[in-house]
This record gives sequence, C-alpha cells and structure tokens, in this order.
Amino acid sequence: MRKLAAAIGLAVRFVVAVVVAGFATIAVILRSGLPGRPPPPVALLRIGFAPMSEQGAALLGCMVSLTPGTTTIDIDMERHELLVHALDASDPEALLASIRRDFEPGLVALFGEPRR
Amino acid sequence: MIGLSITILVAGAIVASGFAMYRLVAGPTQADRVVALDILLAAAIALCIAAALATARTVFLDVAVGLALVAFVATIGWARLIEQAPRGRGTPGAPR
Amino acid sequence: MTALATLLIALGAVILVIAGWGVVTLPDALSRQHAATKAGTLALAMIAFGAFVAIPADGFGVRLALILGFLVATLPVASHLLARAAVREQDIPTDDVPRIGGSRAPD
Repeated sequence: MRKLAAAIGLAVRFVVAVVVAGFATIAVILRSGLPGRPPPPVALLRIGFAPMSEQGAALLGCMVSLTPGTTTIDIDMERHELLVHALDASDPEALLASIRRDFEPGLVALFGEPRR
Repeated sequence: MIGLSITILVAGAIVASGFAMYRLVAGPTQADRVVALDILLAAAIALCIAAALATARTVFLDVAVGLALVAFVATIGWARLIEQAPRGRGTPGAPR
Repeated sequence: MTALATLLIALGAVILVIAGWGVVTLPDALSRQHAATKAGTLALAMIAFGAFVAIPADGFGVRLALILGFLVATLPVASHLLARAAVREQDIPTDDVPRIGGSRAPD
C-alpha cells in the first residue's frame, strides 16, 4: 500500500514537473532570442542521488530528463551520481533541491537499495 | 471553431518543421541533426492529429502511434552510430 | 467545449513553433536537446488534450493516451542516449565537472 501511494504521488509530481519544465524551457528560448540580454549560463553538473537499485536510477534519469532545466547525460552507479546538463544553471542548488524534494523520496520508497 | 484550430495546428507544424529543416541542413554536428529529427517527429504527430480531427476518423491516430514508436528507434540507432563512429574520420561536420 | 479545445490546440501549436525556434536559436547541441525534448513533449501533450476535448469519441481517447504514453516513455531515453553521443562526439571534458550535493539519503 505504501508503494502504491508512493507511485501515485510520484506520477502526480512528475506530470506537474513536465508542465513546469515545458514553460521554463520556452521562457529560456524566448529570452535567448532577444538581443542585448545574455542567455542564462549553461553548465554540466554532477548530482549525487540517494542509494537505490539500477531500475530506480534509470527511472530517475528519465524523470530528470523531462523536468525543469536538466538533461541526463550519464548515470554513474558506482558513485551514485547523475551527470546532467543544465540549461539554466544560474541556481544549481535550486535544481538539486527540486530533484531531492520531488523525486527522490518516492523513488527510494519504490526502489530503495536492497539489503545485502 | 474546430476548423480554425486545425488551421492553426497545421500552420504551426509547418513552421516548426521549417525550423527543423534549417537545423537539419545547417548541422554543424551529427547530434544537432538528430535533435532536428525529434522536432520533425513532433510536427508529424501534430499533423496526424490534425488529420484525425478534420476527418473524425481514428485511423490517423493509429499512424501517429506507429510514428511515436518508430521514430524512437531511429533516434536511438542514430545516437549509437554517432557514439561508436571512429574519431576524426567518418563523422563529417564534426568540429575539429 | 470547442473554445477550450481550440485554445489548447492553438497553445500547443504555438509551443511547437517555439520549440522549433529553440532548435534554431540555442547555442549548442546539448541546449537544443532541451528545446526538442521538453517543449516538444509539452506541445504534443496540449495538442492531444485539445483533440480529446474536441472529439471525445471512444477510439480517440485511448489512442491519444497511447501516443502520449509512448512519447513520455521514449523521449527521455532517446534524449539521454543522444546527449551522451553529443558529449562523446564533441569530446566535451566531463571529469572536472563540479559535484553538488552529497550522496546521503534524503531525510
């Protein structure tokens, strides 16, 4: 039951994040077309994520790809890191906080690291 | 009303595929061209939905479902090709 | 109802055009990726919802949901592979990339 609730909560947050991400991307595109205004800084970042199974990490990568400002480039299972490309890297801490807040709790509940 | 929205949709899809065509021709890297292919796919699905709206038949939506699946395979194939191409040659247009 | 459908479809078409414009105007391949993936998905989602509102027939809803489901499932995977291919193709260095946040589990 807890897993079901986590999955539903995750799905709802994901849909909201996709819509927000679409409009944020549009805002960046429109701003970068204007002359005189510098486009927001672009950057590569490594983001640590909570320990979870490979399936969970793959799902997290896909979700990160569709949510505000980031595209997954590589997943490092050894060090639990996502290599992401941020379109608007003016505030990387906020990007990290939104991933931590929206996706990690649900994914950890669904795909938490099995005890070994 | 529906006629107006179909007109807007078709016009938008044509303009978007025009932009994608520019990127497809201009490059400069292979990855840019595949990204343009993604926009072309979106425009094609939008046109399928417009056709389904205009005729109120679901056949065109079946076409769109097929497109959504097949274009994914095309993108992945091309991405693998870029990734495994030998450096320095075999990737015309690469900036070096 | 048709007014809502027209609004959604027109908005989706405008977002599709902006996504295309982003592919033309953004500075490098990785940035263009964002435009194609995120804005493209949002545009198609809006167009599909608009079409569903316009003609709520049986076959329409199922097929539109299928299209959206396939897109949401496949676009991020394709985008991930393509981003990795772009990084390898252009030999962008990734070793000295700053890491933000620890690997601790969230509270």
